Amino acid sequence: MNLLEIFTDIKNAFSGLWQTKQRGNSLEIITPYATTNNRFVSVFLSKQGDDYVISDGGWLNSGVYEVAVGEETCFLKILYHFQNSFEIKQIANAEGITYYYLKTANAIDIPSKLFDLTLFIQNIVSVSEIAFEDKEEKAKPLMS
Amino acid sequence: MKLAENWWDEMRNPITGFKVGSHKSNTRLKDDDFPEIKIMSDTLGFKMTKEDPNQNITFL
Repeated sequence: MNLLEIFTDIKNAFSGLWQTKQRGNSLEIITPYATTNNRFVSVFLSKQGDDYVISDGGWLNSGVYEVAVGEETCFLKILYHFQNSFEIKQIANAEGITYYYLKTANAIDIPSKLFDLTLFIQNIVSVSEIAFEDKEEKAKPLMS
Repeated sequence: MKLAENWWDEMRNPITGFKVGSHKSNTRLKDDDFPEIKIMSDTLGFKMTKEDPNQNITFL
């Protein structure tokens, strides 16, 4: 195999991983992007009025990825960094579950928005696996 | 990485004819060497997989 064939193989293998599932009026898009706890990232595409919405379906906040989104300062700095970088919006539903999402009126912008939201979810789920130092641990005196 | 879906193991590259992921670097590895990657909606119950997560929310 020459390098171009290998690249074609990579491209085909990668694009073969995309899947979809119809979920009511939304389409679940299962992306080829995986978290460090080995979960493929899903996003949900729907049309609301004239806008297209791409959301995480509330999965980050409700624990579907089997990680708890932390409240430590270190973690929140990372969360806000990614949220600001990708301009991710958030809203809570009636049950208090936070949804992270992006919206656009132009269908041509959807791939870019989907990519940003996917990377956001991938990063936040992966970072949520890190055990940050807690207050008690920080307050302990160093052993001499 | 080893994927969770069986169909993936049978996929063939239309150009090379090789099974996808069957290149030499994989042949000396055991299945246990690869983590399985889960599709989370496959792990949800019937009701959950029928629900539209974006319904009943007005995205501002």
